[in-house]
Amino acid sequence: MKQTPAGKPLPPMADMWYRLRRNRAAMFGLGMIVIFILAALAGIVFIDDAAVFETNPDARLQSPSSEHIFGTDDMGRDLFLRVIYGARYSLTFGIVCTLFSLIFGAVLGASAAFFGGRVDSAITFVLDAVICIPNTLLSLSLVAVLGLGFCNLMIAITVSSIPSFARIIRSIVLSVVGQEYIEAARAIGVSSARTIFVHVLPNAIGLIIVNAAMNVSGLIMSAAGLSFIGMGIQPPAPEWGAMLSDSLKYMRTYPHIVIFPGLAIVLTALSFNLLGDGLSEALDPRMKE
Amino acid sequence: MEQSTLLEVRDLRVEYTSGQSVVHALNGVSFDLHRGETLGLVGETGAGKTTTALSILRLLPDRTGHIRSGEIVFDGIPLLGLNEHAMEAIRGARISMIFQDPMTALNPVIPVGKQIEEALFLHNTDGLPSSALGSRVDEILGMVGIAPERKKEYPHQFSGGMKQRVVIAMALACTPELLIADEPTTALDVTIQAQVLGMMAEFKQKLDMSMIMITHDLGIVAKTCDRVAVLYSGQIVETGTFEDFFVGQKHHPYTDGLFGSIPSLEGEETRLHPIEGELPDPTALPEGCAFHPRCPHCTERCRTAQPPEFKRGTHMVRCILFEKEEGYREQ
Amino acid sequence: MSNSGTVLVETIGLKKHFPAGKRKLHAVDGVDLRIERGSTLGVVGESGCGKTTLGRTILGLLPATDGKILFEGRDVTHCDKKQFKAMRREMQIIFQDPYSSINPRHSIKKTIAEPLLVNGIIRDRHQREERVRELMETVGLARRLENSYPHELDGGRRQRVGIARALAVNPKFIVCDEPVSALDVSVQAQVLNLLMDLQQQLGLTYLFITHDLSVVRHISTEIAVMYLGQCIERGPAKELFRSPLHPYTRALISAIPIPSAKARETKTEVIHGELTSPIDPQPGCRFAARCPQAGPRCTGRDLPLRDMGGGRHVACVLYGE
Repeated sequence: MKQTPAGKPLPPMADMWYRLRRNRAAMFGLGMIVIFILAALAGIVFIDDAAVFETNPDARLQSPSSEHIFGTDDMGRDLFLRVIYGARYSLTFGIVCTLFSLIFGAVLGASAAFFGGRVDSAITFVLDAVICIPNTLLSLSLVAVLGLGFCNLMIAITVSSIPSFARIIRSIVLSVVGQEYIEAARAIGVSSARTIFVHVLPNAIGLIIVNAAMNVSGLIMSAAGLSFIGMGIQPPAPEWGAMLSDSLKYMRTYPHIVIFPGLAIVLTALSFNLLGDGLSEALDPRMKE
Repeated sequence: MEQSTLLEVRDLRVEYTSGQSVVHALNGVSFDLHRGETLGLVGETGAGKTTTALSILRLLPDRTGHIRSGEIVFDGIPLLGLNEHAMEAIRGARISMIFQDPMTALNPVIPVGKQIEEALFLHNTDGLPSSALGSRVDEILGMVGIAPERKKEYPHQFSGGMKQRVVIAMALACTPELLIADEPTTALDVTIQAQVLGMMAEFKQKLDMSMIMITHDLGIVAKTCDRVAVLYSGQIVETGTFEDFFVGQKHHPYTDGLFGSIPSLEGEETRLHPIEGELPDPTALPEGCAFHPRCPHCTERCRTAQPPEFKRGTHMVRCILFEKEEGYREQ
Repeated sequence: MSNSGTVLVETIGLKKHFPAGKRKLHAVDGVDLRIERGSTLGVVGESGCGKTTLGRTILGLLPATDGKILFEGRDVTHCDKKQFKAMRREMQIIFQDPYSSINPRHSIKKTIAEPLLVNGIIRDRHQREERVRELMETVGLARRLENSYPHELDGGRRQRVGIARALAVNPKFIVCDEPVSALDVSVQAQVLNLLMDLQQQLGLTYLFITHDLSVVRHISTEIAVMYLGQCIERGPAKELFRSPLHPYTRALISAIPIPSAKARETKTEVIHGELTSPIDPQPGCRFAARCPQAGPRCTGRDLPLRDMGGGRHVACVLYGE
């Protein structure tokens, strides 16, 4: 039956945080993300570029030891330092690209949903057309046009993830716009801009955040994927995907060279997914107790 | 007139638990239903009408709803003691239910004829061949006023009123002895409501059914019911025959409030006389009489002690005002 | 009818059509109404008759397809942005569903204060809060609820919040779109009483849209009965119920289950069939397909609303000619 919600209401974000805290998997994900971010920051502050880039033929392909806890690669560089150093690439791709595609996607999706009619038709048409091109193919062609490089890769990944983002945001906003309080806002004379920012977005933001968190892991994977096939960050920079492709030929003989960067990719992606899952559960009113 | 009892509900107590809070949905509900009779179960949101129906069918949500105590005896069978398999043989075949919203009670991707046939198939105790089931579907659809040719159509091709007819056809498919109708016309327009109520009354006669009509509309009660039970906060506060309610002048203060809340179609009054206040929070019911915070006749005793039942003939009222009323005796 | 000085809202041949594929859905199809200052016009009809669209169109929330809307004699049919905004202070709306018509993320105080803020009525925050408290008192909401959120309130209280929000701008005219049909009977009566008291105190004019006939009779001065986008009968509330003219009105009134012992004696005049499609309807009486008294004269041309005297109007071939 209907239940009366007990307790005093928390602001939406605090409420979400309260419920998220009780989800172990999500908290694990969040913990891992924090660790990765701290590691990336530590890498920026403490790790010398020399230690990561300079080859050391005397120490090639060493197994993990107390001196090199992840071992060394085929050029004798310390794997642990390289993996930590590489965290900055993956996290930047994941988070910054998501942020940008979120902004563009939100503008496109929200205006399509809010204004409807021709604006909606036009935006949806363009998005649909772009979505028809496979994501990887789109980013590949963009990189091919723009040229290799960190920034270009970011642009390519962002652009190719905007359409799906915009569509998701459009449907989220559409469900909010259908609510009667949006019509009520119009009836009392609230301007369109205020309606969007005060009534629509705060009610849609939760779901958008959930989708953003999920999106981060996808982008980390595609950045790694592009680097893996040589279209992303170029060796010797220790991007995890590039590290993987570099070390493939040693997979059978020195598996640790493959395992550690691979594990790093999987763990970051998984952490963002777990967090996203947890957020969507925390947001679902049916899960409220 | 001597009537045999079809359904007996005794001291039914049901709780819903969710997290820390416990919703006391039913707090000792008792009533009888005679064969061939229509009992109106009247009350507002959260009074426990639907919970009563779901308890009889044993369809309370597994994880949250619990029957704490009480007995439900249907035709001599104690329903609460049955295992799920035995209950399935009764549910849909001997006791059917019509839900409030015809829009969601039908599966949108199965033609309506198939859905009725399924109901028949599940309770095909006589071992009819499938061809016979098909002609039975035609017959039932004809009965509810839908051309049998439409059986191949999908629910979205029917209007709201027509959908409710399909739902009724499904409920009646196995000629149940007891039909529980949970606000069957609330989602319908008034002219369609008149059609559907007329049709249900006709079937009740034809199929010799008993019926529990759950509603918040006293007009529907007056139109269809032989006896009435008024629920408030999970307790029956008044029961009586049609005459006790609509001819008799003495009522529980809550029933009076309900009558006072309905604008009359004839009078010239300009103000309604509603019950002040709001329905009590079912997780924290007031002590004493559950109605006392809203009752205009509330006394000190009402705040502390549960009122007993007072009875005169067929009329029962759970209110201490009837202590001094002539002819009413405490039970 | 009385002179136009006392008429607050008037519609002339108002139409609102929606595109339905290549065809047109005639939601409102030529409605003439006049609402006197301080009175209540009840619009009654079954779902799909266009009564909600009518209310939205009069408010300007939906653009009219054809016809005119006059407010205090001024033509407000096609407002520009500025005019639309100015009209928000004149006419307001109370919604049916108190659950979805209030932003769940805003406190009660914020919800009621919003019209004051966005219309620049009270710019000072303290004065605004003072006015919110005043409004809450007017609609019978306890002051302690001002920081509550909608999900903590029951339906009746939420509807009071919706009413307070509508009253905030001191409107002259309020469209009440089924304001009590989502509420329980006992709470419904409280809200009806409140609406009637407010009308008295503030001199409000209502357009009261509902499908509940006993409610419409109770609250209205005049009633307009709608069927498939057209007004088929109009007249003073009590008289219309005492002697309904149009066959549809008669069927509608006889279909109401009356909560009294008489319910058994009166035979319901059941009309068969259901609403026909509002998409590209043929000219003629829309009710003819279900009407027990329909004849060849009913189809072929739209029937005008005929003045029967005493403020009563009906669109039916059985009367006049």
